[in-house]
Amino acid sequence: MRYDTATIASLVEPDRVHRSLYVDPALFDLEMERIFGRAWIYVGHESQVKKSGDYIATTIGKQPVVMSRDAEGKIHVLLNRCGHRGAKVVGDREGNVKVFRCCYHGWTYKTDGTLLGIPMSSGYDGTRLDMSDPRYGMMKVPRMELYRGFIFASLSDDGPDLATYLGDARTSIDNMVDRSPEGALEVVGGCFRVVFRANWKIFVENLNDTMHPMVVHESSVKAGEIWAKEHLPEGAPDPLAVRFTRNNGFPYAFWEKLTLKGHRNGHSYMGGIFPPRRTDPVFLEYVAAMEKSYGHERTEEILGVDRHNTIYYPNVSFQSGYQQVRIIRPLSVDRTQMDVYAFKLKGAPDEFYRHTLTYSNMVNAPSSIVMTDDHEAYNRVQEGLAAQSSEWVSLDRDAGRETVDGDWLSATGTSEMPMRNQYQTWSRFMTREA
Amino acid sequence: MLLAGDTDIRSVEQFLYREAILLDEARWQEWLALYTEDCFYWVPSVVGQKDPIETVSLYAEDRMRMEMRVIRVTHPRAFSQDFPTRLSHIVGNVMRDPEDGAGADGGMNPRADLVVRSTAQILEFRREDQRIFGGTVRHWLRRDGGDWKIAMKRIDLLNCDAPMEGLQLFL
Repeated sequence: MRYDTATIASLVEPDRVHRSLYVDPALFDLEMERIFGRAWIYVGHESQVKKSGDYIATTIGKQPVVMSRDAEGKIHVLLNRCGHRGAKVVGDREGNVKVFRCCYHGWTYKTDGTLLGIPMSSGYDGTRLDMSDPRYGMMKVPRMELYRGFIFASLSDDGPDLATYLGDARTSIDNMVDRSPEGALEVVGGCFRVVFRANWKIFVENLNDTMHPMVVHESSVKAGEIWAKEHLPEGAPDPLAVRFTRNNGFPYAFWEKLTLKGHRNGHSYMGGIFPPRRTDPVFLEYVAAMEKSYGHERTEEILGVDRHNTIYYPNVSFQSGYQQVRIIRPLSVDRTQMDVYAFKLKGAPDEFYRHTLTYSNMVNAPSSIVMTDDHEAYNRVQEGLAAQSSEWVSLDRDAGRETVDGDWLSATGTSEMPMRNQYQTWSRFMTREA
Repeated sequence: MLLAGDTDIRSVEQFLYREAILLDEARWQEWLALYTEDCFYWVPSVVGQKDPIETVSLYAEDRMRMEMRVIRVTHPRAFSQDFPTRLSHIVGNVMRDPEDGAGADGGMNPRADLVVRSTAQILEFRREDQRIFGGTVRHWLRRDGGDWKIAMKRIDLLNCDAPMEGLQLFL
């Protein structure tokens, strides 16, 4: 069906959303246009294109893009489409080139997207084609900005700048970078690409959903508990892998005491669930490196920021304390890909990065014994919503109990406030026609 | 390193087939018993991956993590196993690794008497869908009385860097 503005507005109420948001392909197409086509979308990190000519290929919504570093060292986000007949120019995921060359008719482009050459270009003499017109190049996205090394792009030339859009929520990015003794991050080791059979928004909701861990993750919590009981002496500290599973089993009272924060642009974060300060030798060595760079007081301040997941609406989640970035790539109304990158903190001990990878492998790998059950839950929401027993999906928990402070809503740890907040933003994007 | 002449490759083949059957029949405790206490189970996430330390892996599990996976997957509250995953392996091309595992152990340096290279094709079925995995497998084997134990297993999947849905069992 075609949706008019009034109909779209009627799909989101303060405490519930219509099931069509998850199941209707027409709404999905409109989301790609009005949300992924307008918002600031996270694309990648500068360390993924270190040298001139480096590029990575990805998507913004359904549109193929390339992030590249040009000969002068400047980073660009280009639409991955030949200015001639539209072929996707870059066919692999990453690499390094002098020029981009289309595989179809051999048009070449500089790594900033400018059209460089056309075979037998005399054939265009006296025609409408103008080689200096950017429309015949690989076009740059309308807007691209870096924030502390992270590249965001917008397919719309209209809207707030990146800093304004991220608002104070950007402090989670700050904290992730500040946790490096050199104030710099680097992607060095691969990427997980995990697919689940559910609408992308179900994952975005789940990132700050604290009523699910003890239920969904019971089997991995038990795996940690049972293993520890069978193998460790009473009172011995848990190995990291055990801790990463057991923490999900904290009682409801623990989660209730966390703080949830929702930003007016749809972003949100929750308080940390792992002890912010570890006491193992690797962590202590890391703290020493931090204190050398920042001094004791500033180090305490940086490590004192304890947030688990921060969501930048609509497509990226930062786990600042564990150096993980998860990119949400909607594939269709009922299929989503998640790209997960682990970051190295420059200047931290090598062994520290191994702990980062242990977290990646335990929690964010396709084989994760934790995430597998999340995906089962998402997939079942998608399948369950085919039942039309109600037109509405409940977001009632602690509704109306959040408090407002400037750009922020605050709520107790088990509130569904972040989801209600996400859908207010969803509605604002979706009801704006042009 | 044991010379090929000292080893009956047929007995090694039988050992690998036995491992495959234990996986296919979900006989997890018997399967774990094939591995040494200091074992390592590794499925790289990129082609030709050098180590499990700089780059993320689809699996990079020591014995603790392997045992945790087995506990989870057999736990009644493992919801994603409400419909249990089934596997079927074909193991072929079994030979002593011509390089004796050189450069393939990811720096884990397993103590082994023989490195065996094979090819596996693995069908996986759950609920509605069947998936196919396959690739090159290396086993670092250690003599254990008259039999073998696995000190390390590395599986280089053909689609190691593909977008994929969750992997729950061992391959």
